[in-house]
Amino acid sequence: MKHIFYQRQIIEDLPPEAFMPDPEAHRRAEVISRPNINFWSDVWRRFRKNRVAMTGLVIIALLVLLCVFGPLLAPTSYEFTNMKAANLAPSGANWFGTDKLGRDLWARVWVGGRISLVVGVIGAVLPTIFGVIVGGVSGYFGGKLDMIIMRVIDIIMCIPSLIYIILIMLYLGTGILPIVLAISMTGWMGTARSIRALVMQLKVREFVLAARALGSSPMKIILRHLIPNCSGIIVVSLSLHIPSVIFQEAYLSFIGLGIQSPMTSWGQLAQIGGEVYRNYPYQLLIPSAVICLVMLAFNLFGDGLRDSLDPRLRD
Amino acid sequence: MSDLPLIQVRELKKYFYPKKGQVLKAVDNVSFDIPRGTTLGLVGESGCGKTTVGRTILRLYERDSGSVLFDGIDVHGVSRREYKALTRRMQMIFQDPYASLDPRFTVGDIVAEGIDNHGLCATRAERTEKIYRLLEMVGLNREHASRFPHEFSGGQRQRVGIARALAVDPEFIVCDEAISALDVSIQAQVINLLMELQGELGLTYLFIAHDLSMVRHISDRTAVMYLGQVVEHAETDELFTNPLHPYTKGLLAAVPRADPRWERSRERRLMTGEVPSPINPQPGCRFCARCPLATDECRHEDPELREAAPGHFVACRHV
Amino acid sequence: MNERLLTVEDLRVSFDTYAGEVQAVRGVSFHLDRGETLAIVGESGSGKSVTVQTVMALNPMPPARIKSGSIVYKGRELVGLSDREMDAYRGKEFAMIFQDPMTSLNPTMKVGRQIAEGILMHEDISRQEAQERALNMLRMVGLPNPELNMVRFPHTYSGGMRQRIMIAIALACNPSILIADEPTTALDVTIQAQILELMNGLKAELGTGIILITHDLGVVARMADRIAVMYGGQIVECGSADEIFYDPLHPYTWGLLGSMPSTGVRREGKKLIAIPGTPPDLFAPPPGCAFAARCPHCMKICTQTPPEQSVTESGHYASCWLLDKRAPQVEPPEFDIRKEGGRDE
Repeated sequence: MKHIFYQRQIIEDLPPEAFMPDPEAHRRAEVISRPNINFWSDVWRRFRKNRVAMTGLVIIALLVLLCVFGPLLAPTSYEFTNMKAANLAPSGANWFGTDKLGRDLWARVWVGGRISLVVGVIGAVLPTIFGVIVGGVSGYFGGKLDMIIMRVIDIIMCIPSLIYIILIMLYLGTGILPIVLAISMTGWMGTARSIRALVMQLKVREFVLAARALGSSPMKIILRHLIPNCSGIIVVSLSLHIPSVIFQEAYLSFIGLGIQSPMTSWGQLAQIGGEVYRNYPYQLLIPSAVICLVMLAFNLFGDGLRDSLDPRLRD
Repeated sequence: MSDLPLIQVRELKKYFYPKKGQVLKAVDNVSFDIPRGTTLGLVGESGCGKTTVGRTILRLYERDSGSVLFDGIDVHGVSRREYKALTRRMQMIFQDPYASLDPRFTVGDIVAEGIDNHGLCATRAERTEKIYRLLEMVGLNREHASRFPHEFSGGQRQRVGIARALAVDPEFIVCDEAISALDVSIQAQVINLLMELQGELGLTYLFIAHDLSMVRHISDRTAVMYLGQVVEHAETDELFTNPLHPYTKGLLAAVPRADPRWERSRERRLMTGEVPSPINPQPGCRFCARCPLATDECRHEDPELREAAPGHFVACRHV
Repeated sequence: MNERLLTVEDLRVSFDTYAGEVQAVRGVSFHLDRGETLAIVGESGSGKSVTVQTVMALNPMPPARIKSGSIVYKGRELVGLSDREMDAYRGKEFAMIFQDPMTSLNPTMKVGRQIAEGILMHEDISRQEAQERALNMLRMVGLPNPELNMVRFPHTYSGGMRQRIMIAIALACNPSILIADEPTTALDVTIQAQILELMNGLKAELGTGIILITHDLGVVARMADRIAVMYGGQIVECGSADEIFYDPLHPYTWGLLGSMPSTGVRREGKKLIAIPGTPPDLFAPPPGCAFAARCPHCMKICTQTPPEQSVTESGHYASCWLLDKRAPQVEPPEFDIRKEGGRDE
């Protein structure tokens, strides 16, 4: 069949070689033209656009820097007592004032911050790791094992955590390690539950079937396939867990179960400040304000992280 | 090479129990053979159990009864260690090119998963070389190895899935709706690739699909499933030119042909009704609710799968 | 007949994403007459869905953006109308059905009520009358026991029945244009055949113009009067169903037809005519012909300059440099359909 064509516009001045075959063209057919973006750089791109969350991140970074370098700027060490300079209000020399033993509060706030942050991070990381493993195993194997693990978690969650935190601390004594241990033992159940739910969704996905068909062992599937695919949730729960641990530590110190003098933490500073609140309110207000700030910053950061990880918002 | 069929499925049953008192007979008494180097097409509508058959053959699901023999080895009877050895010899290509690749793995690591599990490459360089060779075999290039799955199009991902299955040098591959999610032109690429590989490596396929025209193109024999049972099983050409079971006839009549003149002139005999729920099936022929030939006998007694013509099996008492 | 319902001229739609502009639709023109079915065929990402969603004004803007072009419905320009002004057309003049009916049905509302609500939104009639009409619609789309079905919830239906309900909702206000976006892709072949039959019957009865979007050439052959083949955000070829199937002009159309094994053709161990490569990324569309990189007849000019439209005496047109009188003569490959067209085996 032959047709008579007419073209709407004809480009006249074309060289004859323009109509020569171009065998090179096929090489370009399988090239991916978009930039190579991996999962986390994509998350970071979205996170950066979230101003509130970025503010949280900046505050966290500033607080960490102050905890590391802040004490160097203080006139005296955090444990140096000077009864002649007790209960001084904030001034050019003592930026946050001094406490009833004349110790510089600027130094004490940031040294206490080191303890609070370390307790917060370790006390959040340990139970998260434990919870992820328990949740992963429970979700992947299912059946009776899953039933038993979930009932145990239900039972533990029924008991108010304060009761056995106090029991543990009475047994192990006070100090950083007992605090971290006590807090860790209460924090893993929530993580285990959410990881279990996610793993149950993921394990019926075809890539898990593919791994099984390739002879991967269950442990390998959990560790290499399932948990990395939960990493978004894990990171978010971690970043929201840290402030609650910091708060728990502050709370324990506040009721006198935590860090003991001359070592300090934000909660303990608040507790001591609380005793002299009527006369020297700054001794309570400053550590309380720092606790509020760090809680706020971590929560903003965690919320922003969750938004940037949400696959529904991916474009 | 022995004359024994590579795959022998005998009276395979796989039931699910979605709720108390309910039984979903996803695979109910299915038997077939697949001789070495050939392709068996398995077709049927959604919910007919064809995917479950594929997964049960590979023991991704435990069977309820019956047996699957792979080269004479009882797939469901072997120990964990022996099963791992079997996973080197039989593989699967999945339906959904988006869900079947782990989004956190690079394409290179995805392809290498079987190689790592079975310790097929001694050195890192050898492993890399093998990944490159596999990617090139399926028409991708080596730069793709460091990319993540979400950067690829559906057809490219499906080829990654094929490379992953080929990495362990299998003898048998279950293609579970391997082309259904792809565009037409890409489907043809994948089909051509599968057929080329069969020619070169002597692979055996179980090709599960609902697209009858592609099944006709690739399969040597074709089995039609309806609600967990094989209703007809014959040489592909025989089945398509001379269907015996009323369901097969209705299915073939429903497929639109890419030929407008033929479509305009054809007489339509549409199958009425829909596939009934597979939960708690009644005794008797599963198809009788939609069947124009159904009699009281059909409603009470299961039809036997019998040989109506040489090599042509059909489960219907009216042919 | 031959009343012009819709004319789309040089429509260009882009999406603004973080990585830059994705040019989803790049200069698309087509028209639709009363009582005809226009099939838009193409692979995923070819811009076919974006095109009709723009006609329906369903794309959120931003990120979508109409860069240029016009959409004229019965002599009225629709580009530039506000969302509220478009509401008068959506549902009343144009209706749409989707691949997955569940996403567009309200799971908490009985189906009879859902149909009636649609009618009440556009027409000033009593609730009683609307219910009556809804019942008639259910009868028309072939639901058994329509009275009973009026009070059922969508999730109690199978996919095929849901699609029938969607069609009932879509046609309740007697729209002039029905846009069907892959209406049968999620359905089994036997159910697909039933739904296609239903759509053809309703078209004949109501004179609705149908724009059918699909990638299944079998469905196209059964349904279409005219076909537009889209690739890389452009219509590369457009003509009547017979012209496209039996006398295709564009190498992409050749590839599409060749890559499909017809059920009427026997397997002889031969290869399908596959199109190598992957569709272009419309994030950075190629300067010349979008298909050049996958075309077996690619010439130097194809990668540099977009081809002009060549039109035959009957109005069948294609955009390809091979149709230029200076280009070498290339014979299309032999397709089985071309040989066997219209014959049974």
